[in-house]
Amino acid sequence: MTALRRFAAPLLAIALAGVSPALAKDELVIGMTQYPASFNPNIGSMLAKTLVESMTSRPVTAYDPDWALVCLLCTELPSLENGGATIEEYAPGKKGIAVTYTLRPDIRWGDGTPISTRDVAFTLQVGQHPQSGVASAENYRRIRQLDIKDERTFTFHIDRITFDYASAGDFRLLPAHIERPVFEAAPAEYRNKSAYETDTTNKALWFGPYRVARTVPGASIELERNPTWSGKAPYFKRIVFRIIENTAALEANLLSGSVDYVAGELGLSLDQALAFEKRHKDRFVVVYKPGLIYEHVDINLDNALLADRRVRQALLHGIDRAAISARLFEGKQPVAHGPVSPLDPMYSDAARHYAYDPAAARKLLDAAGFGDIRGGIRHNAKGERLTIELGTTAGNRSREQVQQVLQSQWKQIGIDVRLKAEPPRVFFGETVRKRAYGGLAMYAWVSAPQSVPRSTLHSQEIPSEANGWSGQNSGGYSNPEMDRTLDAAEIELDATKRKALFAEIQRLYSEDLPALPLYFRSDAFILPRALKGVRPTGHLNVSTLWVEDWRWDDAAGR
Amino acid sequence: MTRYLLGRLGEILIVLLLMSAVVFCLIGLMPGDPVDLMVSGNPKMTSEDAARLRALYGLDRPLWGRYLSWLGSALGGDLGYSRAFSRPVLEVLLPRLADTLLLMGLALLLSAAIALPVGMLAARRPRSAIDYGVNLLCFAGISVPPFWLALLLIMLFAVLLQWLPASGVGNGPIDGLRHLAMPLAVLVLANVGHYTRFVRAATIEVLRQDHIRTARAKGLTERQVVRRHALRGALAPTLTVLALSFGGLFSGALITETMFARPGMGKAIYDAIMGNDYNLALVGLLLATAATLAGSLLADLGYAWLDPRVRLRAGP
Repeated sequence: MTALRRFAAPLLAIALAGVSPALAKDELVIGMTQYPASFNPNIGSMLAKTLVESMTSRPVTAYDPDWALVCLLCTELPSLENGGATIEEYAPGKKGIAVTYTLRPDIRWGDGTPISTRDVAFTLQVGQHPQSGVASAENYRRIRQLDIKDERTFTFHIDRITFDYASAGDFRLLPAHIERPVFEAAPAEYRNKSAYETDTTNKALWFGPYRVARTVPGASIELERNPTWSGKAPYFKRIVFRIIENTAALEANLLSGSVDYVAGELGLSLDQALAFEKRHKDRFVVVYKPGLIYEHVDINLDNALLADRRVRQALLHGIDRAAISARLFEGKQPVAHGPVSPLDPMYSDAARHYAYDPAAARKLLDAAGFGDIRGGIRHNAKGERLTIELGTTAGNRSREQVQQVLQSQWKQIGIDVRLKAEPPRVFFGETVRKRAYGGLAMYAWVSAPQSVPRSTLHSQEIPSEANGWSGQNSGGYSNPEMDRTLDAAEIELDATKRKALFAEIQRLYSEDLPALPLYFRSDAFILPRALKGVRPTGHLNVSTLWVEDWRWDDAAGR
Repeated sequence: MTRYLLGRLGEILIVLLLMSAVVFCLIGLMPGDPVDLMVSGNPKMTSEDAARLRALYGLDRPLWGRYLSWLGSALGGDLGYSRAFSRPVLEVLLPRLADTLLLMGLALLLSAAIALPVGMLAARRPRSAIDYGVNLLCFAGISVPPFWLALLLIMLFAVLLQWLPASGVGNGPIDGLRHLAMPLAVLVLANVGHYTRFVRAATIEVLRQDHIRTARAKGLTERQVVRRHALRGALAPTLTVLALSFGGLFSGALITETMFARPGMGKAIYDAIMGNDYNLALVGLLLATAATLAGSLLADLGYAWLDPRVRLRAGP
């Protein structure tokens, strides 16, 4: 007994050592499921990095939670009306646009060095260098010339006219005084040797409300207030991102208090959040934010059975998407009628909506020549059975559930559906990329506000062996009218005319059905009742961009 | 003995070289590459971007060419960079290895420390109430899925009682121990059943042998028989099991590390394979292979020490 006591006493002491009464809320612990692959703002693209870097730096422009484009580092959004943007002909027959930004006078790197046009020039140099490792270099390539007026004012001469010219997009400033020597020593090594990777806690790298204070690769990232931040002072002294990849463990951490808040952008799945809300709504508020993640079923138009538009329309009439959304997702994921979100200013309600109508679906299939029903399955005059394969990513519970519902509902109209699930790397790396799926492929596209769906709908974007399987139009959809409309929408500067072109894109989409729209995915933000000010955006500019508005209200948490 | 050791070390090096080629090719032949993953997660990446990055990462070269250039650099001491962490591979793996060695090493020691006496106790009284009780507990430990046990412990000790932290590694030795308690418990409970059953079977086998009967005939007490004669005999086969577990010290415990958010080797290797982080996966798997081979060598040396009938010499 004495031995047992001798053994148990230190264990109990160790256990109790961590149970101390909570002090003032200086620290906010955010749980998320991924660790960033890189801290360099321009290398790689990963949601985990975006969540962290939105607290430690800022883009020049961004879409705010109301989906309006705003200046974050510039003093005024350039436009044709205010003279900040001008159309120019830079070569015979070639028109571009010159966009002038002025940096805010109060922005400084964490070591006190003012942010200036030197940083702009350096960032452009890195972005345009073929060996720098920048993932998405299209925006950099489009800048054909940079004019620097003074320390704060610069002009991008862009090689084409696009309606979203005022957005600086992915242009994320790099500190020239820290990064230039590393980059110029070996551009091809820059992605690994950048101070963002080798000296992540160097305060000169950061200029947001917070700066990176400590990292434990794969486990956690600690941020502390940045004294050089001149904007609204953030409430929390420290913010800790704790990486817990298993969402069941993440939920347990939230309940135990090891984690205060789970980021909706990278946290619990919707079904988990729905179950969590039912059990713990006294302690947490769950906010569901539908966004720009478009769940759909791609159709391989090389499949002769699916080449007939009537068959595709029958497929969409044959599924009860409203019931799927209501039963599986408790109505939190709105039904999609096309690739443009209803939250997007370019959304048009005029495009055709397909209600659940099995009778209409049967008529369409009869008209398409599949009137011969044998053993409950339709056949055409050639005796071909209407059997289609529906593939998706293995391990995604929501998709696997939807897959089964679709199979069952399509069977009721005489379509035999074979289900297939592949690991994501096989599904995306081979099956979708190389258009190797036999009939249908269910997955999601992510887009930006007002983005023209060129990469998924233009005939030039059909992946093939000849173009090295590039492009994202994996269904092989080709319609010259759609191509013309997409081309026109990209360069139309008049908002009203652009909206009309977007409406036409949505109309053509709903008639041709190159893919079957399912729903827009929602992020579930699990907020403790005391945490105020978090505004989910639903788009790629994440909620952490406005971290200085977050605060802890103990009274609300009680 | 020296010749034997040198021979075995040579064999280990050859196996490692072959393993590096096999693993590199297997990872390279898996569908998709790192750039595919980037493209699927970034709608703004163009085909031009993808081609540029493939050339930059050397992914446009044939597999054998990539392997040879990796091997050349590795022999020069440069094991390459991890794509997922943008850091040198060893800088990523070594802290994880330390954490995994601590967790898995303690789990192995504790499991062995429990399994040896309990297994021998059960073996001394086969088909007794003690034996049935031990068997029942062993099968319970073997049957319980580690992820379920981990969740159960988290709910009890972290959520309900709030005695222990639910995840992470902690700062400092005391905090580190508190973070270690639950993952250690999961691993010990999962392993101890196997080891106990093995010790029990090995001891029963030894207790039936002639030299034990002779020892008993000499008038030794049962305790003396077990301590002086049976233990040594039962330890030799037990060493095989422990030696095979030695590789696990380096390759980690994927489920336990995932559930308790511990950045260990198991998780690192799994993520590296799934995320096409070739260098990290390759070096992680080679470390685990080297550890298993080293464990096997140690087991052979242990046999010789435990069993005087075994003599080590280099092969013909």
